[in-house]
Amino acid sequence: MNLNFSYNWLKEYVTTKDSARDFAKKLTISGPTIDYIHELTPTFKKVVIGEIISIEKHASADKLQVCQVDVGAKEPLQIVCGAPNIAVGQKVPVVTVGGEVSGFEVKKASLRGVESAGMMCSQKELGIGEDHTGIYILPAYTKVGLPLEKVMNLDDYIFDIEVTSNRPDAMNIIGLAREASAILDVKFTYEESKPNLKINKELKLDVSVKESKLCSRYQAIVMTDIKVESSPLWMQQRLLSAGLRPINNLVDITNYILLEFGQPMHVFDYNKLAGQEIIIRGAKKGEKLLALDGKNYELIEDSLVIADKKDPVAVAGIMGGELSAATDETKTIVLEAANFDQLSIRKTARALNLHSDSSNLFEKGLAPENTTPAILRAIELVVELANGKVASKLIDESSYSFKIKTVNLPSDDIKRILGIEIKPAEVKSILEKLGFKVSGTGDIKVEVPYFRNNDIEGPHDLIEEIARVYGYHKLPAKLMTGDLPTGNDQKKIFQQEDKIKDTLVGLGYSENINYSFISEKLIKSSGLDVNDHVKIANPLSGDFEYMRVSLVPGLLQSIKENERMVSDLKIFELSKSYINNPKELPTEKTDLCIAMAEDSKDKAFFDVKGALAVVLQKLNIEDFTTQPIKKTNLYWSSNESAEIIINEKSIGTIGIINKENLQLFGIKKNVALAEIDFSKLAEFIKDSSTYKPIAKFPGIDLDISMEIEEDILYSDVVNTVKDFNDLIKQVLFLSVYQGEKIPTGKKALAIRINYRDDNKTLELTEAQKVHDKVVDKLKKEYNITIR
Amino acid sequence: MLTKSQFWDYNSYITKLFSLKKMKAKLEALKKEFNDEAEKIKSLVDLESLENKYLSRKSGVLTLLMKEMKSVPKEEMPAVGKLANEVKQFLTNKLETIKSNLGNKNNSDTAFDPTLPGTEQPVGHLHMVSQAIREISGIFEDIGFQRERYPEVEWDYYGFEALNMPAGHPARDEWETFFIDREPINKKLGQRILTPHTSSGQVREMEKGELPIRMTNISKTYRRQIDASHSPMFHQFEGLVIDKDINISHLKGTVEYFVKRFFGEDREIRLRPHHFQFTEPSFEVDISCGVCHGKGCKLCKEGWLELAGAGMVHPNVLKAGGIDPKVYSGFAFGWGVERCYMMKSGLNIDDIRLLYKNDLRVINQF
Repeated sequence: MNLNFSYNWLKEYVTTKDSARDFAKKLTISGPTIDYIHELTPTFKKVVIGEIISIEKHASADKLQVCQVDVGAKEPLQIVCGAPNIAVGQKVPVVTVGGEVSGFEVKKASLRGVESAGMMCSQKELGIGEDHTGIYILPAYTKVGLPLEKVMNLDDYIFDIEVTSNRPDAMNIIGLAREASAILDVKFTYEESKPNLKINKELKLDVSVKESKLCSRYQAIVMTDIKVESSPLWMQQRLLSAGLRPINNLVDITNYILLEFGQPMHVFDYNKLAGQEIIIRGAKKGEKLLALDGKNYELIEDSLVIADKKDPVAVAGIMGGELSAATDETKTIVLEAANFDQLSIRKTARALNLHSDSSNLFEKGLAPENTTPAILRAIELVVELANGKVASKLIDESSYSFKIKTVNLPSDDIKRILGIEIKPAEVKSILEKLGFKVSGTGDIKVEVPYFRNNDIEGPHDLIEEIARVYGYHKLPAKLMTGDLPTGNDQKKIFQQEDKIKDTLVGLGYSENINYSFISEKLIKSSGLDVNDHVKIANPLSGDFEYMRVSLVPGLLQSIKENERMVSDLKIFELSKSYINNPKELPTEKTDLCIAMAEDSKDKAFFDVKGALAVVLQKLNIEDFTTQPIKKTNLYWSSNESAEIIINEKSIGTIGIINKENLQLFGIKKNVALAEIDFSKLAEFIKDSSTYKPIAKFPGIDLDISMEIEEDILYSDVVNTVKDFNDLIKQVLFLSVYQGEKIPTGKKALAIRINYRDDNKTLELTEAQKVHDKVVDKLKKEYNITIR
Repeated sequence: MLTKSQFWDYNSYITKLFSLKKMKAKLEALKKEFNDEAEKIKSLVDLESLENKYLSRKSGVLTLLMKEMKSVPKEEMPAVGKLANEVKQFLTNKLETIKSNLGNKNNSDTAFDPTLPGTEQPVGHLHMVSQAIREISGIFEDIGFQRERYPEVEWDYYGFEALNMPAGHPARDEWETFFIDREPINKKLGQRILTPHTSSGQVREMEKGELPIRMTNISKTYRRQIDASHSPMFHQFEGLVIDKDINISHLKGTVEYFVKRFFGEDREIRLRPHHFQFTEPSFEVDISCGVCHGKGCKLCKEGWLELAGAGMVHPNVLKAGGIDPKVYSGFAFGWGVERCYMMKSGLNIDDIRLLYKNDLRVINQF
């Protein structure tokens, strides 16, 4: 959680002369991280305090008002203003002519015919806060005519601090100051407030906690004679720097306590609590609450609420109700400081989708002991800033019993984790500065302070405290010297995958990495079945609803995105698909998909097939064949796909993608694709090639150019020729042609046969003899004619 | 008298004998004709058309003539075949000679311009993330780390529970997790999730029961976040070391070794205290900003860039993996691959989702 805090405020509780930057550096490497430092300097020029002495309507503009503002000069300034929140008597910041706010200069102007000599500003315009809903109304005590930078302390630095979720105790000024005192090894100067709790005129308040498990402590006090007004500028300044909007002294005090102690507080209007009773109980079915954010919430049964005799007046620890809130007319208040169960708060906040600074803190788990110093300080401030008088005893309904946690810390453990020895005196000093109590020597006993009760579980937690405050930067850096781990069967797979990728890249194919997610639309466009997919229960959107079972849809999508921009569109992906196993983890299967989009489907297909051949060759797979698939399936075009077969086992499919599927994707070109199951392929991969001696004697190539029935497969012709005679060493494809000069139903096929004798130089006559027989056989078997 | 069949044999013999003579003559004529034409060749273009005229596989003059050879009597075949091969050899040699001669005086006809671009070759590109993964895992391999692979669709147990984050623990909120099952479907393992971090491999690795451990796990990870700096699928890198006497200095040494190799010798690291449920102590590892070198600039936080989360493995996690925390200790670290690679190259990719759009105009730049 990131918090913004004023350096000056921190310095009230920790004595340091460090510059803001040095302070931040030291804190960051040993404690909470200070991500950014903002130097607070006025971004405005010539802004003075003014008092509005009259307001009149603008004659020709409904939304504008004409104000006379006293800025301490001889004559008041006439300023035209459109803000909704101004009233006579208010003190406001005024930019005088020639001054600057938000980077622009204020000049004399005429607004719809009325002269305006200056401008009143919002907090945002002044660059001191976020509020831009109206003019920043200053406290009544502010002196007219003074420059704004004189009355607001702008000589400060604001730290943007990240405090980790396990340290709610440090999400406030006091906690941070304590951290800083340990890290900087300087004095922590905080002392608990001791307000006078003498009751002048007692008012009754009954507090009963019905759900003591969810509310371990509830402290409250009644205060009367309250004067609700603006809080002083120093307080406003600190709230503003933390990103909070000043409202009035009461609200500001509770927010101030939240920042200073990390203890959420609440103020009720005493007279609006029916029966002057506070009951902490579970919500009843159907109960509703109009919260301070102006929204009506239907409360969830049994979620914790604060109620008066009749109705809920607050969602406990999350937000107060509008109807019981203190207003400008409030005279008597109830101050609340309580502790609520973190899981209960978390559940309710989520269920209502209602989160506040208060719920954010409670969710992290606060110490019940923290309510006392917080409410004492609040009482002090209400007395001082809102004229409050104590009107009840400090009610304290608590059901927890605090037991001091003691952790034994063996001295060897420190060295074991840190790698170096730290002197016992230094260990003791670090822990004590952080609020721990240390006893014993050697193996020490450490008492955990209440505010660290949640996060300190055992010795390892204490070692972290010692190590960080000692300074990680002081620890040595070295590499391990122990034994290396044994055997890794996965390494080979990674190497094979890399080899495949490198080969394809070398052939001009570019790698894609698609999301593992897939939409229902893409599944359907690919002709796959939605029910075969693993479904995500909480997807971000329909685009990310399922886990893919195939890489094909993703690649087709990629082709669609690229086909108009890239001419030579060759891509591949080597990645996982997820095969659904009900009630079990899906099978994560690595697939290889190679694709090419081209106008000519033949070119695409044979390019992909050629690439596949090279890939297999590089994996030392001697031979593969393709077996045409007759039936239509999935996204493959009927009669235009084939199984890829190695040693009679199918490892995948290669073919043309169905036109209809392509249309659903919006792809214009033809797409050829090979889809291979890597685990099936891996069975045949060899680490190295087998050496075949180079032929001693030359061979003879003889070609056959034939006319053959068009549906006879090339592979059938090759198979017929290949094993016909021992002299035949290789059959090569030369060309195939259909068209002019070739009768319909036939194709012209040319092949080259390599003849060689392993024992002597082969004579042409001998080769020719065999060759003639090959031709005869082809004639007999396929009724070919020689061209 | 000849029988009818003998007559036909004789007849065919005569025909063939006649063809044999004719064939020999044709071959000789062809050779001469070729030679005459070859003498006139002045350029490579002319040479190519000459080669095509005589030797083209479909319509070459010699090719066609050789097809006619079948009409030659069998017993004469060797002689004709030999002659035909000689002619072919002659043609091929001559063409070669002319070609090399033309090559030697290449500027006689055309000007040689070495500044013309080379012939276009097919170029494919490895995805940037693959390149990053290789580089990172290679560096760790050099110091004895072995790369492993663990499920991406994982049990809640390995993703959270075994990592010291029992059900309902608020720390779980820091991972915006995708769920397959809304409720647990397995008593021990809980529900199925898309793993939000590679740390889910830690306890799986420990469960193998082989020590010491020095592993890396690079994998796709998933989180319910999508904006310019978050892609719902991204890659994480994880390192895990478990052995006797492993301490923070080893973590520092290992990360420093990586940073110097990957980012450069001039880069520094610092460990900054942090909190993770599954490590204690926990750190964030920062590296000094390569742009401002620690002074503080727009790209960094007061001179430093966050690289990784790290820490000493929490005793509860060791226990979950069946390892005695009194005997063994270890450290773990992890970071986003995409971010790390972009930090190195200074790539100004303003939207991380661009990496998974697979726009070849982007991929093909790397």
